[in-house]
Parts: sequence; C-alpha cells; structure tokens
Amino acid sequence: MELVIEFISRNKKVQQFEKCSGNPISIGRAYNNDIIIQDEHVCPQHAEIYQDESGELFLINNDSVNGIKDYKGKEIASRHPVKVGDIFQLGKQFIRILDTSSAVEPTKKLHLLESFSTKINHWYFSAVALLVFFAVNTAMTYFNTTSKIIWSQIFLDGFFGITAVIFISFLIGLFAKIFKKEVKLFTILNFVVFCVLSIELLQAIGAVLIFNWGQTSTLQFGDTLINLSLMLLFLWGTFYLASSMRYRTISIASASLVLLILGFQIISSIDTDEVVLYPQISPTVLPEYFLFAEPQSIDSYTENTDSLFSEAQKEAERRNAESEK
Amino acid sequence: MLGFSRCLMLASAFLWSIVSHAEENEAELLFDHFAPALVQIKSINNESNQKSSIGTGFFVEDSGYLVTNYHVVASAVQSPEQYSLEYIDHDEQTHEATLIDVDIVNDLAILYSTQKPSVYFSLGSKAPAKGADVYSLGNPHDLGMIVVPGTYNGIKSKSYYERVNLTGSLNPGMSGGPTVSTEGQVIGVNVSTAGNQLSFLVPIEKLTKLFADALQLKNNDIQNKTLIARIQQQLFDNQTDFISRLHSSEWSFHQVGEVSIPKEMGDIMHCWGDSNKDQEKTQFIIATTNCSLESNVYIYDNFRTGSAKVSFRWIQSEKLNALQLANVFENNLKSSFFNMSAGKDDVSSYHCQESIFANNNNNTAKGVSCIRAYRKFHSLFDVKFSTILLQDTKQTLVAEYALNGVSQDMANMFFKKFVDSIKWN
Repeated sequence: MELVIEFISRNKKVQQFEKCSGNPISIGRAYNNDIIIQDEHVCPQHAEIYQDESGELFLINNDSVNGIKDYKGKEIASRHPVKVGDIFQLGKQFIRILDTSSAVEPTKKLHLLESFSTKINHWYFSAVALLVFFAVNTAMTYFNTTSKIIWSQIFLDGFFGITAVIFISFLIGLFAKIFKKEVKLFTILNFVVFCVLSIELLQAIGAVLIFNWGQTSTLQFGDTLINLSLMLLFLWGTFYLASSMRYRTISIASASLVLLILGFQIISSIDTDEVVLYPQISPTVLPEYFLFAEPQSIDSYTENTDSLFSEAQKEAERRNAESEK
Repeated sequence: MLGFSRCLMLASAFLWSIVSHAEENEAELLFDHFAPALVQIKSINNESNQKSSIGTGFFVEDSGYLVTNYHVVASAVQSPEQYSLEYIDHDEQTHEATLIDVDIVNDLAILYSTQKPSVYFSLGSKAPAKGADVYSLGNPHDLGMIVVPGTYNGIKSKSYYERVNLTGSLNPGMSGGPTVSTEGQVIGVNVSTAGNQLSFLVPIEKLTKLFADALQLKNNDIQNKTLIARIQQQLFDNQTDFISRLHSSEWSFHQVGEVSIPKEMGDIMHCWGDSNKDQEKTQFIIATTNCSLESNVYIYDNFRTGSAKVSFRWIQSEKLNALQLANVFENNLKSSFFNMSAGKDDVSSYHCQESIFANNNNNTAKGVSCIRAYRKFHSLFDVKFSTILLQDTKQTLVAEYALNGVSQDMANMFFKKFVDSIKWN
C-alpha cells in the first residue's frame, strides 16, 4: 500500500508531508520507523498503520505512553479503523492520513498583486524609493526653513525620516513573520515610502487650493475623503503584506478599522457649542506663481463679508434665545 | 552779596509757608463743608450679600440725585437680577439707590436716593485755567473719605475719549468722587490714574449733559431693558463717530521699501514703529507700524469695546527664496490677529473667510476677514481684517486692523478706505 502522511497544524494547515509504502507502515520517534515524528511525547515505536486482506486500514497503538487521540481529542482504541482523510494526534503532533488518489486543492491563479509584490521586492527599487524620499524631505525642510540654512541639520532631518520609514517597514515585516507570511522587506519598504509620499503630495496640492480659494467646506470634505482613502490603502497594504488573510477578509478588516477611526473622529469633534474667542482660521500663503484664482473685486469681497455679519448676528441671537430658556 | 541771597531764601520760605498754610486751610474748609454730600457706593451681590465693587459718589441736588462712575455700578447695570446698589452716607447709614441713567462712553452714572441731603455739590459751568489748584474727594481702598490736592492741567491732547489731566494722586475707590475748584464747584469726576501723580477726570460738560438728560427721564423706576437700549445707542453713536472721524481724516503716507503705508491716521490714532534690523543673523527685515486709539470703553468684567487698532508690517528679504519667504509671510498673516477682550457670554464665535482680491490700485492681495457679533448689543460687531500683498516674491506688506463694537455699515466704509490705502509704489 502507498500512503501520504501530512503533518498539520491545529487549524489543519499542512506544514510538511511524507509519502511512504509498505504494510504495515510504522510511526514513532525511533529512526527505524517509516514515519519519524520529532516530538518527545511520541514513543520510539508509537503506532502502525496496517491494511488487512479486505483492504481495510487500521491504526494500531503499540501501548504508547500518551496514546493516540482523534482530532476532537478523544482517546481511540488500540485497533482503530481508518478512513482516508482522518486526522489523529500523536503526542503533540497532528497527522492526516491520505492515499495517493486523494484530491488536492484546486490550482490558484497567480494574482497580479502577488506577482507585482514579488517583482518589486528588490533592493535597488528600495534604494531608489529611499533616495526619492530623502530628496523630497530634504527639499521640504529646506523650503520651510526661514532661519540661516545649516545643511548638516537639514540632512539629519532627512535621515531621521528614512530611519522612521525603515523602522515601520521592519515592524510590518515582524508581523509578517509572526503571522507566517513570506517577508518581502523591500516590497514593504517601497509600499511605506509610497504611502508617505502620497500624503505629502496631497498636502502640497491642498496648500495650493487653500492659497487660491480659501478653506471651503467642499475642500474640507474632499480632504477628509482623501485622507480616509489613503488610510484604507495603507491598512489594506499592511494587512496584505503582513498576514495570509484572504483578500475579502483584508478588505473587511481594513474598511472596518477605517470606519472605527472615522467614528472616533466624529465623536471627538462633537462640539460643546462654546464660544471660541479666537478666530479659527489658518490662512495659507505661497509665492505668486501658485496663484491661479481670479481676484475678486472689492465689492464682491464686501458682499461675502456681509454674509459673515449676518451669520455672526444669527449665532448671537440663537445663543441669546437659548440662554433665556 | 551773601546777605542778600540769605534774605531772599528767608523771604521765599516765609511766602511758601503762608501759601501752604492757606492751601491746608482751604482743603480743610472744603472737606468739612462738603463731607455730608459724599457717600460710598457699593454694588452688592444678591447671592453672597457681599460687595463686589466700591466707589465714591456725591449728591448734586437736594432732590437726591447721586453721581458716580459707570464702572462702579457696571455689574448692577448689566446684571440687575444679580446685583443691587446701596450707599453709605456721612453718618455711616446704609441706604438703597436706584439707577437712573448712565453714560457708558464717558464712564458716568446717575443714581437716585429717597434720602434728601443737607449739603450738595454744584456743577461748575466752565473749566478752570491750566495750573489751577483743585481738590479731589473720595474714599480710597475703603479707608475713609479723604481730600487730595492737585493741579488742573486741561484736556488730554490727541485722545478720542476726552479726559481731564489731573496732576494729583487718585487711588482705587476714589472713582466717582468729585474734583472741585477752590470755589467748591465740581470741575470733573475722578475716573482713573496712570500712576506717578498722573490722573484723569471726566470733564464737567459730560456730566452736565447727562444730568440734564437724566432729569428728563421722569420715571424713576426705569426699566433695565431701556437702560441697555440706551447703552446700545450710546455705543452705536460713539463708534459711528470715531469711524467717521477716522474715515474722513487725512491719512498721510510714507514709503517703506516698495510699498506706501499710512504714517498718521488723523489726530486720534497714535502710531509707533519698530524693526528687527538690529537683530543678529536675521534672514529678513520686518518694519512695523502700529496705530491705535489710546483707550477704550469699559462695559463690564473683561468686556471692552470702542477701540481701533491698525498695524502694517513691511517684510523684505534678499537671503530667502520665494518659498521660504512665503512661510515668513504666512506666519505674519497668522500671528497678526489682535486680541480683543470679551468673555464667552458677551459675543458669538468668529466667522471667517479668506480670499484673493484686487483693490482699486489693481494690487492683488489675500484678505482674511473675521467677524463676531455682540450678544447684548444688537448690530454691533468686532471686526478683524488682515491682508497681504502678493505679486512680489522678495517683499510684501501685511496690513491689518481690528475694530471693536462697530456696525456693519461703518465696518464696510472703513474697509474700503483701508484696502485702497495699501499699494505698491
């Protein structure tokens, strides 16, 4: 007879398998067995699989110390009939008994994402990504400095940024290790750099829009929407790179996390409706070559401020009415 | 020669002793005569039954009218359900007083008492000459009535809110007491001090006018609602007047860098300047001009109105590039908001907008406007506006103003004059 013995984890994931032939097939810790299990709770000559004349399979317990249990943890008899696909526990090890005709899982198509993430898992892509990241951060620090330029400090800032990105990547890699997923460290690094650069790019675009048209409610809504999408992308990517969850599970997990964060944001922004004594506005100024908006006339500017007067008056009246209650 | 100078010294010492003796005598006589007409005013909190503010008051007619400062009775005016007024007379007797009328802009209040005084002050009809001896009466720090000699020094110059300069020591608690001439006529009402013998009085004309108005209000049980309405009208008239004066006055310009900015804004705004040029290692130059109305109108607690502030900052740099300098510009536009005193129960939150506009000189600028409304005084607003000139990446002008307690029309009128006063040269 020819059998396949799979070594499986508690949740039935195949870790290793062995194919062997003979009758009986011996299982134990000693090296003269057909199937050797490296577990100190398994006896040297623990068990045998035996096929009788009619072709029936039996698992024989050779008076072992810890015996043999089925998948549910129930002790089995010393001569137990076996069906193909049955799972038993010897010592701490789970095994599944199959024959060569047992069906295997259907072939998975290599996913585009999977092949892409493999393709970019090279040190030279990461080197380019870090270089771009360093250049962008250094330039941003340079353009934001209004005191005397000290280049060594600006470069130091850039290196801090790189260190942070590498640290986050290692953290994701560590999770991948914990969740038994293949660690693609360079892919992770590229992904983190991509996310950070996207945030910076969108902030820059936001600054140009605010400079031109002010902080409008449409802009604020768009800003929130984009931030949430970026958060979704980051979480999705992190789950994908650090766990072996299915795509559907990843999507559900990351979307619910984003919704949770949104919920917290909404709760924390609930207004106590107290009067704020300082203006809540933070105007943006950029050089004139970022100016695309058509300047308003003085009259239309005044018209817009007229609505501020009536809004303020309405608020004052509302507060008066509320305090009289 | 020696003998002559000694003679002179002796003679002058003799003369001085006569004069000072006469002064003492006069003060003593005045005080003795008028003491029964002086009272201490207290604003009593109804919950704790304790005084929340004290000041001095004086009778001006035998029918029971008392004069004091508005700021002494402000709590009772603004929250009549929480505070009541009483006074302690010369014989240490406590009596009730009711509010008749106030002049919030000039810090005066008229109260009424059913007690008729035996002695009262009469209001002077004309101001004394500069340098004339006068006597301030009052109860400083609750220590008892005193008399303080001083010198009348005319109306404070270059000030929108008229005050008499008094060289003499006024102290807290003397607020609302009278300052009298040597003839015993009231020439002003004690109001504030700037320390070092520099004190201020409300001019007598303001009191004469308010007193005449108060006599018109026959009904003594004046409703608080109408008092608030009168204050609202006083604030409205006051701001209309000061914005109109600012608007109609000639603004003289001078050139700073490539921009021209107002050097003086009429005679009521006081301007001061500074720059950071003496600072080491600075990457940019900021030259600042700040102009403001010297004082404001007290309403209550920390709520003040009736002030105007204007600021211009010219910023220039050869060392910084356009993006770096834009940061400096932005920080200046952000940090530029003047702080205006009001409590959370007094006003609404600010409503703001920012946008790009072009003024009539065809200069493109970014403007930020923030407006909040007064809750108790309808149609009065605090208005802040700040603007930055664009079009040049090496220099700019940040100009801003803050107007306290103005109407929408006045704010818009001032805005138009202000934005058109900013220009590149």
